[in-house]
Amino acid sequence: MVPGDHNITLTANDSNGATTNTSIRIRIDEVAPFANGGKDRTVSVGDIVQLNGSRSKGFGKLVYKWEIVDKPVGSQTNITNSDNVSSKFIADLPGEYVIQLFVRDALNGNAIDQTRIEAILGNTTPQISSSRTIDVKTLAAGSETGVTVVIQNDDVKRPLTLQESIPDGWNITRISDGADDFKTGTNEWIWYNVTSNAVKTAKYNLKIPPGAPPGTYIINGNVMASDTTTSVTGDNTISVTEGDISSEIGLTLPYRGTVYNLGPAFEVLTLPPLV
Amino acid sequence: MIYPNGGEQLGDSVNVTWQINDVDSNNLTYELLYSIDAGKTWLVIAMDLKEQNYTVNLKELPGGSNGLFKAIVTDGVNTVTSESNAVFNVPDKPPNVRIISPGNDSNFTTDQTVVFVGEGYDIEDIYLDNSSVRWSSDKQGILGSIIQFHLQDWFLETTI
Repeated sequence: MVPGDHNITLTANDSNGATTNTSIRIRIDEVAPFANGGKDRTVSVGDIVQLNGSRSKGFGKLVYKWEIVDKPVGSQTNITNSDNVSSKFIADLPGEYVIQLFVRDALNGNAIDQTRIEAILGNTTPQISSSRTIDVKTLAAGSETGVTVVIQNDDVKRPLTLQESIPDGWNITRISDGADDFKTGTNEWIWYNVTSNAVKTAKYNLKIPPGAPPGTYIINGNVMASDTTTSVTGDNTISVTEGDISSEIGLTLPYRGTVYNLGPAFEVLTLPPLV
Repeated sequence: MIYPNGGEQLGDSVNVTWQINDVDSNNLTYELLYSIDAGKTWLVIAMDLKEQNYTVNLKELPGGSNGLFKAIVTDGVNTVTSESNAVFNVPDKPPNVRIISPGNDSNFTTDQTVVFVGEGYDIEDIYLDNSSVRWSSDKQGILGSIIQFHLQDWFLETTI
């Protein structure tokens, strides 16, 4: 249907030739076409890069035109089937390829999208560095501390994932990170498009449960990039001392450090000073 | 049957009249029936009538060229019928149709899908086949015929 005002008529005829019509009026507004050449991504040098413009939209049959508008110096690659909805090219040299998709719809509306393809040498191991800083490393059960993880990307644009493994019952509250996604169940931060040499910083509060037994606890972390996993370096231990258990036994303590004689079942409650 | 008794071209209503006498009873009751197919099938129009006439609203009855009326009279024991001698014509009724969706004065954009849903009924045909229904636009012409058919229901889904 073309844009504009339409009188829509439903006509019915019976077997004797009698005819009945009924009509309504509707309006169709034109929406400008939309070109979608696919997401930016990283490939290996030598890969055949598939291009798909099928998510483009427009009125009627769309006309497609793919074009390489930028490529590494010395690259001899060309796009094949450049006027099809799907096309491809070979990333023959490392570097960035900028692919432009031009779309024209049946109403002669035009749209352009550009997709950036980063070609890297195959089997190159990502050089990702990461470090963790724990603000307070000795804590009473029931308290919390700030934690900061800094991730340094290498010279390849890629997605990065940080996963922090904390003891059971401990809880993470995000403060700032700029992540595109966060998976609560596995404590995973995900950045989908981290540009080359970019730094990502995840800050969070780590809450220790009130009933956590005293001891030393380990915080493990990994950064995943292009099927490679590296461990987060830096601070990774927290010492937990006895916490305030007044809430657990239903008492209100007048001040910390007082000794209470609660009979045989509860003997001494000497609490450490607050940290 | 006095009227209609065959060959008439009837309008929107008719006063059907008949005459049946019973010498030993004044307590007669009548039943009036209508046939659209020259007596193959009958439709009861009225029962327990006391008079020998009845005005029938033909707008509510199927039309055609094979109409008959039949009056059945009983005195409580015996039954006698009086029927039109020949068929008469009753005006054909056009189908009733309405558009359920989209609503009048609806607005859409070219990237949306619009579902057209219509509903209709024909008193003579009851069932209307696919070729009897058509959607059209004054700006674009024929949009299509129905793609799904139920009794009294037509659906056409098209992407605009």
